[in-house]
Amino acid sequence: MVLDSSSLLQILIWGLVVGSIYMLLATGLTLIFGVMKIVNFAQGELMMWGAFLTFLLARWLEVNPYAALAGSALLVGLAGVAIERFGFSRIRGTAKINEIFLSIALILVLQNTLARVFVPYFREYAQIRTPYATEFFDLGVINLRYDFVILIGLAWALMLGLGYFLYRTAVGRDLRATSQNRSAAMLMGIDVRRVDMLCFCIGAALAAVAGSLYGVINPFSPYAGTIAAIKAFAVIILGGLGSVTGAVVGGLLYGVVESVATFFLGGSWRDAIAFVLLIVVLMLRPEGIFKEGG
Amino acid sequence: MANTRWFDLAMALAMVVAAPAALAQAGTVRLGLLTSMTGPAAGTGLDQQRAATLAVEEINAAGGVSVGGKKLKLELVTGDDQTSREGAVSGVTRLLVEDKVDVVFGGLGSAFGMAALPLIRDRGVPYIPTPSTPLFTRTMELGPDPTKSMVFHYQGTGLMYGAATADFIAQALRRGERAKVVWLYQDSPFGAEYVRGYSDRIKERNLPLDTVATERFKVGETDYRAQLTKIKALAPDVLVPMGFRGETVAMIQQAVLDVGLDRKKTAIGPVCACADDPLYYKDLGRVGEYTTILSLYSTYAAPKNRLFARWEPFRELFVKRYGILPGVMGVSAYDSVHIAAKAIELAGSLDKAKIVDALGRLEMDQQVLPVNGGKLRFDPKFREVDFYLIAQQLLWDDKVKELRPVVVWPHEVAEAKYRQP
Amino acid sequence: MSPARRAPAPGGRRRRPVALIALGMLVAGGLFAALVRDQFTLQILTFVFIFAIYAQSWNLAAHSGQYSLGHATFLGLGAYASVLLAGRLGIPVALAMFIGPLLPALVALGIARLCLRLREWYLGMVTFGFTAIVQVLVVEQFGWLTNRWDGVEARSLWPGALSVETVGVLSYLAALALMVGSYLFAAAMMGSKTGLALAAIHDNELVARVSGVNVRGYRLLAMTVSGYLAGLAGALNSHTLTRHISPGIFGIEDSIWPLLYTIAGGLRTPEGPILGTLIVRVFWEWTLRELGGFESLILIGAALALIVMFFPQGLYVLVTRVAEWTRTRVRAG
Repeated sequence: MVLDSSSLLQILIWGLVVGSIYMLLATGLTLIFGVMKIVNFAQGELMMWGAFLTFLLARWLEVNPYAALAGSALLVGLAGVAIERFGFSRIRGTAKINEIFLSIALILVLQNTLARVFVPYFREYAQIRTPYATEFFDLGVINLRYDFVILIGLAWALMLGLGYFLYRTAVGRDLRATSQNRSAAMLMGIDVRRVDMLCFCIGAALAAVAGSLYGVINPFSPYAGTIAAIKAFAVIILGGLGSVTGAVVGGLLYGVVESVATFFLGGSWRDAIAFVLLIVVLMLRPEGIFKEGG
Repeated sequence: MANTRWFDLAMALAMVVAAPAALAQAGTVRLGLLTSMTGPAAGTGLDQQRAATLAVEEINAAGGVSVGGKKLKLELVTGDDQTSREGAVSGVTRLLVEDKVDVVFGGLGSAFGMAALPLIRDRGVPYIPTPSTPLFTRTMELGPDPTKSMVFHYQGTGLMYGAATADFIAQALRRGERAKVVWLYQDSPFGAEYVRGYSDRIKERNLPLDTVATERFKVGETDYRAQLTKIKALAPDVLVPMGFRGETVAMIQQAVLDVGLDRKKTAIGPVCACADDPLYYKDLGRVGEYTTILSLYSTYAAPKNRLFARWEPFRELFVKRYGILPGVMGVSAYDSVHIAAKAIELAGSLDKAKIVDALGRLEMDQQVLPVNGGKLRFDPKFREVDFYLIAQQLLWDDKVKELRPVVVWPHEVAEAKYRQP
Repeated sequence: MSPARRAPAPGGRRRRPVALIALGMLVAGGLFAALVRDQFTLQILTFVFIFAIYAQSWNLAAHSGQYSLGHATFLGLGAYASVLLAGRLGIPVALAMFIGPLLPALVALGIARLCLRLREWYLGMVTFGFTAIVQVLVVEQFGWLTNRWDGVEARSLWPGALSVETVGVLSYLAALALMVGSYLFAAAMMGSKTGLALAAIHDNELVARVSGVNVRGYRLLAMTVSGYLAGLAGALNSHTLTRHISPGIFGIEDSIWPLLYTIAGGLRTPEGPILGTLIVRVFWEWTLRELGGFESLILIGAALALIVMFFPQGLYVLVTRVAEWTRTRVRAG
């Protein structure tokens, strides 16, 4: 086995890059779960819609994709609010499995609408082009594309911004309160319906950002989101449902494990290894690494 | 009996399905295209449908096919395999049972074609599949004797591409010099056959190629950086990235830009002939300069040889009709329609067994896809076509701001010699 | 989610005339085949029956609170085991079809054993994960047996001499019979003491344990039985309709559909999976024909979303409502 320091460094970087995308996706899921105790698997389809909108906006408006990304996040964020209002809020309190059912129904709708628009023009894949595709940072042992640095930087800036919002603003406090105890929050006069909508909005917008960043570094197809969302869900299970810290740590860990496993075991283990990790962790800690809440 | 009420409902619903199917128009020949119209491969399925439509229109404009002294029009019916095995079963049944097609052809995914195969075979309907796997005609574990089979495979197979890959690397790319080769290939029946074709050819001809690593990736995966990092550390002379179009683009871009493979040291290619598509040249961009690609049908090249004489006219025809260039999967569907029409004329009947028999002894001028010797026939043993493959090197064209191919192999049709960056 | 808002376990609201329903299904199914001789319709219904068995299997596991997101593991293993037994060892197909599913039953037992401490989402994800892992194992570790991605061709359940039409009708009848059989089994199991215990575990595991229910044993039992039934559906499918199996069977989709069918029909009722599979699948085929692939799937998604919003307990509620309405009308009249 060949493993010199530059290979090792590269493997870790690829892990962190993929991990950052999982982190964004997982954070959105975990926020929603924390507040509403539901899981929206269609997050992966929102992610691909985000990638596609960024791609289109950048093309039509001839702007930098990283600027187009803001528009895409806004649009998908609004779609998230609509999904909460007209979908999930209506089935709260019915059997738990109904949420999965609704999110699968949403997957069918969102994925195939996207494919319907996408496929005649782009066939299987499209890719978001940035002006920096051939610009590099020289790190001595390896050269690192600007896009990777921007990706990691942007992901972390968003996480820090989210942290500030959750812990330093009044609305963020309401959100955390609702996450910890919904009925108590309601008694305290917090409008939990608004909190629900807000969570879905943030979650969807984060998914759109995750998708756009994914589309910058990989070709994307309307079908790429499903497995990503499932992995992101595995991430929040690993980290502990409802825990943002768990989503961050779990996301990065997942990315690195996937990358390392592919390097040592080969590409066929890429998806499976994540679940081996999940199963092992759950056998040892049935509630995940970090406990539920906040 | 109130509790069994829902049977009424169920019956009513089922009746909807049982509604009489559109009756087959008398006096037409029905060709069933079984391909992916929904799901991840739907774009390429559309390419096949368009190309097949074109062929059907051509033949009908010329009066149709003559069967027993009468001229019959062709009718194209498309069955969607929904890019799934169950979809393929349902789609092919519709073609066979409802549309009562005389020939089934086309397709992209081997797994879906293989899922449909037993049903087609049960009914003895001639089948001209266009997915790449040679399994269609080579493993009939439980089926009838292959020489009596009704399957006629019209597509370059992984085995052919793999063998050509070995020949091209040894003859043109390395010119006989010993080389360290690594593969990054799709973990699928197609990928496995491809690598097997390559290894078999090396053994058979004792080529000076050392395969130092074979890395794999799952179909649909688009992040190959971990595998490429491992490959880079091996410092190979040649990297063969094998996958479908989108996968190949991503592999090359990630190898060059992200992982930083040394282009002066490592030649990239030849990539799969199945990637040759307008979008490949467009998406790959300047990064792909000096890479090589095998081709059964090239999107842009027009080598001066009678084998490729029909490429330009076909492109013009397609662009005129649809505004875009066709890909190789579309071309094979187009050809399949012509083959089916020819076989039916030869059989002089719509009797299935007679058409199968005609396909078996068919010998016609090659269609758009080039065939060794220019005569198209299905070899009696494997029911495959002996295609003529070329290799092209991609160079940057400043006028169109895209890569354009130069044919570099085999030497009898080469426009230029292979150039190391 | 407050348990109080949940309707009582729909399995035991009123004693249902199980035998009558089963007989009704057999008669209606048989009559349908006799009247509608269209092969394509019969094949769609054969699919419906097979997937109804599969959905029933998922339903049984769900009845004990084990919501699996990875039932394709069992569907696929049953198919592989049976096809390989029949193909490689030459065991008669009709026999292999019933021996093969013992493998997924065993695997289900193992997974259930591993997951004893897990519930809800955690259990769902672990079962999903096992599908991904089993796929890799089938391809990599057992590649010598399974032809890796190439897959294996399956022997037909019926002798080769029969005509295609006869085979179609026979497959239809066999699927119908097995579906009714699985229905009787599920109804008996849900209606029995075991069913009560499972329902108790579903509603509140702690309470069930305190009241002396052998939670561990019943959970394992439910999953094992479910694994067997799913494997049977897989085996039946690969010896009748999809006579070629490849590792693609361990995909996301095949794990998702039984869940959709069951919930659309009526979760934790023995009739729900059958009703749901029939309605969704027939609707699917109809829209596919009328509108084409993408539009059809969009419409199914929208229809399913509406179903869960307006009939969160599934469409079976409609049937019971109609039944009750008729009963009151009859009484009043």
